[in-house]
Amino acid sequence: MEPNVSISLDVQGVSVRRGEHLLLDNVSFTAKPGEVVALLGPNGAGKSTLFKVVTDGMSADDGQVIFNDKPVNSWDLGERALMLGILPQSSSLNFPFSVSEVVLLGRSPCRSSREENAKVVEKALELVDATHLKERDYTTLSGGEKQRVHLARVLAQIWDESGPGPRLLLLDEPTSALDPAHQHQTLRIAKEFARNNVAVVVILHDLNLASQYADRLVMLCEGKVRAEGTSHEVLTPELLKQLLDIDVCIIPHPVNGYPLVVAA
Amino acid sequence: MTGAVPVSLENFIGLLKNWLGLDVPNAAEQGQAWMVVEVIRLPRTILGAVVGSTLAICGGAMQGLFRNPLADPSIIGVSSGAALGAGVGIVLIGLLPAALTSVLQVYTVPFLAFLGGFGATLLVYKIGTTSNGSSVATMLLAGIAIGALSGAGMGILNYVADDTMLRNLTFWQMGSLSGATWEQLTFIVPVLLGIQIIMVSQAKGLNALLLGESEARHLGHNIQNLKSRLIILTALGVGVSVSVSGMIGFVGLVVPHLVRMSIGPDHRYLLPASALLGASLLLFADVIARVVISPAELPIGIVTALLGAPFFMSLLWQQRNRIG
Repeated sequence: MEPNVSISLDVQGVSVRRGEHLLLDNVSFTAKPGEVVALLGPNGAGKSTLFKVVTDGMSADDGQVIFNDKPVNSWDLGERALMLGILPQSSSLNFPFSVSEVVLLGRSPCRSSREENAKVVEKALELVDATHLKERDYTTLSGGEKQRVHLARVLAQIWDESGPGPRLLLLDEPTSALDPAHQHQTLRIAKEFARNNVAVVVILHDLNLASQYADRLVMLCEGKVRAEGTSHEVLTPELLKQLLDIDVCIIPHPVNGYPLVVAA
Repeated sequence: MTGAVPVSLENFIGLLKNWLGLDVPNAAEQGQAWMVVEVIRLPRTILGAVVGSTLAICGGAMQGLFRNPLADPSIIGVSSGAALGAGVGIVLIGLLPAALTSVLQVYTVPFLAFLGGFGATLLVYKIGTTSNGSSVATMLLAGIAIGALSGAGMGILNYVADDTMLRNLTFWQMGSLSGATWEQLTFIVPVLLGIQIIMVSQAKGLNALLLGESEARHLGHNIQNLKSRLIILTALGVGVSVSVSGMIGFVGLVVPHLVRMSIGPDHRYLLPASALLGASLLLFADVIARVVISPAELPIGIVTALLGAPFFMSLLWQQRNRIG
């Protein structure tokens, strides 16, 4: 079967029930290679549940998740690992690996040579601005440094196109522990990977970061997709009042023209 | 080569020559020393090496599986189950007429110890596993519960036991390598070495598992299979080890920990290095156990704890700032 390159991730009508509660209610969205999709929504909107369904930790009660033309669960794990990089919100790693060893773990599914892996590790660390941490004990890093190291690990995992289909990068709040400079750097990296034919889905809370870097915004609220489109379509005062319960003004960015959200 | 019977280096070289088919002038005089080496000390040394390395490798694997450097094989209930099994064996045999005792003791106690250890682990694993996979946290709690239950069982056994049984129970719990025979080794050595080899082949998965279970799956590992394999290998390895040598504490906890402190947590190196250090520690402890109160012997479990604990404490003391 020739992979359908136009859609990498296809979430089709996914619902998840927990007792009486509908955590996800008929959620559908897609991500294509080359685009950055931002997943937005208030706490408890179901973003993390959706993330778990997509990353195969949780089974959906209804609907399905198609990844590169196959249900995400039916891929061979080793093959899938070559195409799907996932950055969780936080990691429980508490063993004293060096930083470069942690990033090298990301290369474990790849069938490349030791030299090649070492090169990718170097490049990934450079990309996230962590080259100087290379020899450090991971457990002694700050929260933001850890987050960048894990980003480097996930980037190293899907560094080059070696799997049977296009690559997908899923980032769960990758900027939560980062200073402003590194927040922008992380999203620039996401954008750069997208330009190299990777589909990127990123969960974000910062509306302005989403507006600046994402090609499409998906707004999740109470388990439903409530809005989807470009930043101009989704970031409107009425919609944000209704979904996030905040009063805002939308002004165009003085240089680039994308909408900026400021509190009213 | 020290112990209850003195064997000189000359005796030992003579034995080596004899094995190689060379002529030894005073062969007849050396016969007794040779026999001590061949029948008692060599099997004992081999047993010490395989048991020590197995306990250390299983400890390293459990620390990885539970992502906790303070885990040891007893965490999944295997030691407490084995102790209960052995206890039942010792007391049951003690109740039988003396004529049967000596024959039965050799086989029954190891067999029941193995059964107890393996059964306890299976129970812990079953409790911790649902259709969604195995929960490491639930297994940990179940292991504690099994430990408490076996403790109670041992208490009952201690209560009903007479003096001889009590002594046997106590000594079993302190471990010994003195029961080693060639017959036993032909079965145990291949089994334990096989377990060690498979264990080492799981190193990559264990490394990924340190990142977290879902992260390991995202890196392409089938973690449910990995977890089952690690648990079963540990239950087998530790079950077989304690069944022949009794409880030898501290090796499974301290050895992988020491190795990690010096060469880092990468299981591709940590597991083989732990095996080497575990074997060395147990052999060293066995020598001490045989020498300090010669011609009697100290239980080896006491020696491993006496050697391991202060060394471990001094390492903790030195590195406490780094651990934080």
